[in-house]
Amino acid sequence: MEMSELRSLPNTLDLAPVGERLPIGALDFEDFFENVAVAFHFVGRDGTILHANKAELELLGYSIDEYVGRNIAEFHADNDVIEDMLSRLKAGQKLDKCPARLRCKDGTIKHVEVTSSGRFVDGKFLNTRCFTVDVSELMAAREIVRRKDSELEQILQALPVAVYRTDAEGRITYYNREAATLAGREPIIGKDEWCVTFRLFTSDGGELPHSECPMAIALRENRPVRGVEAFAQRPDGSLFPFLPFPTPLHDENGQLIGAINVLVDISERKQAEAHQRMLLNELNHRVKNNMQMLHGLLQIAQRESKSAEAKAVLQDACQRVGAMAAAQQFLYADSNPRGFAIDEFLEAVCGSARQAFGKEIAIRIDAYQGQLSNDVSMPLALILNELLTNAAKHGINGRGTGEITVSMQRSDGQIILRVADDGPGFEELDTGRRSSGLGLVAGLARQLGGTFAVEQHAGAHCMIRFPEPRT
Amino acid sequence: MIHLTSGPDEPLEPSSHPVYGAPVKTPQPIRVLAVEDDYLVGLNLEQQLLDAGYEVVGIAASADEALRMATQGKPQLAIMDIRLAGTRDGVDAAIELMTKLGIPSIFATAHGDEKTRRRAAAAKPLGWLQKPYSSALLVAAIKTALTKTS
Repeated sequence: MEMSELRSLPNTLDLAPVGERLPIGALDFEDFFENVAVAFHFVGRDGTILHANKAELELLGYSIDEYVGRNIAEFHADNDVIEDMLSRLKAGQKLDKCPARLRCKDGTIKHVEVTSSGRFVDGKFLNTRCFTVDVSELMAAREIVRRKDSELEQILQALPVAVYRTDAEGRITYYNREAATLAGREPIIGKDEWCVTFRLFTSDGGELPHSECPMAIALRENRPVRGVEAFAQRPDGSLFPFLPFPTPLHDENGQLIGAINVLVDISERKQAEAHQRMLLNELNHRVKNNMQMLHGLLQIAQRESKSAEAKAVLQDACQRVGAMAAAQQFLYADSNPRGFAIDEFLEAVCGSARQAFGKEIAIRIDAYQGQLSNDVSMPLALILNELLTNAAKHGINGRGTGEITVSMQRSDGQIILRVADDGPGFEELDTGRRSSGLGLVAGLARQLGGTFAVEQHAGAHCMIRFPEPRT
Repeated sequence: MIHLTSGPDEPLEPSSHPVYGAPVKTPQPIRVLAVEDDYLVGLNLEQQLLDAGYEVVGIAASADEALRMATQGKPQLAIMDIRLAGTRDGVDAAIELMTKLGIPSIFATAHGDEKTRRRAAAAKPLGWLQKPYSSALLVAAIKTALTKTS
């Protein structure tokens, strides 16, 4: 159809009654074609532009003479695109939002989408009918998004930690290079679930199914998960400890859309901790040995001393160092480097005293199950040693046989140590000495922030009460 | 029931040991405050000071106790441990003794690292004693300190 044919359509719209459906022939197609807001043009079989409406001319900035009658390929920035479009149209295909770039009069390029079909008469291609929609702003917006995505991708790739994300179902949708390196494998996008790693284990060595891993919990419970250490195994069998930081992601309506996870390799920290523990154990071992040597030296000096007074002083000193050495062996245990088990501690210090007292004096221990801070161990060992010695010497009062009961209980944030004997009780004499006997006990009780009291029941009951220290 | 101590806040008073030849020739012995949270180490320090002819105004286990004893006993100087009972340490106590009462300190500690020394500079310390120290070193440090103050 030529434009003259289009123009020949009758213009009877203004004659039509209001509200009445008009026959197609009554519509003014020329007016519609010229003034519709959508850009529109016809191209002949040789590529010549047969006609273009105002919207098309305004879109590109040409006058009708500068545009109509020229070959459409002159206005396309990409020749292969227009050639492909025309050949497809001539082959009878329809183009739906086919992307193209058109050259404007001012030299700028507009991104458009062309929707077009060919007109055939008796199987012969006559012309195209092309709608052109300007999508330049959309393309610019897409370009900004693409650039932002690229920047984010570069940032994530540059991070020295493993980062990956999943969709709301837990399928991996992204991972950075560090994640693949740390995991020792290339995760499969859209297939792998919950974690990029090969196998997972809990911090105590139990197998951890991926569906139960912190990331799965974060997605299932829609909350960040923190402070859960785990081990991951690479396909080559090697293991590494890590700390995950899974965090759910939400859309603008608050709907869960996935989660992001950061895996921090804590191998070096664990190695440093192990090294520190080893050094501490070594130091503890040496201190323990040195105290045993000191104990031994005092025992030898005691045996070799000819003076009764020196013997007695050395025996007391030997027993005190023995109590401290016995206490020392429970400090800095692997399970808790800052605290010690009360029952084991009491057993050790009482065991040291038993050696000095002989078999005739029994020591019964009644302690609650718990731990105390290492800070109180030495004062407590010395206190217990003095009280045991006092009970053996004065409480049992030279009878030779008897029983001493040692108890340690906890009540209202206070620790109560009781040492009771079954003797006749004793009169406490203030010797004025503060470095031995009950004077030492009182001083050390004060160092613990506590008090010391002696009660006379059936035998003497010595009681130390001090605030429970934090381990 | 016989209570041998009334509680953690009751300070120990210095014992009345004889004075063996005062090292500084003054009519009255030099008054020293011992600040040490370990009971036995504090006792030993007190004995060393008494043996050397100084008067010990008390053994304080915490910064608060040190300030209270210093206010009451008016010592010429304090032998100050760094690690003390309570929330404040010996550096805090020494700074307070100096700024509030003008009493200088000699730090006696196993924590003689550079960071601690920098922090302690505000207390204008008269010397540092590395634990464990002998009586001779203690006396020498006090004599040097007194020379600086005079």
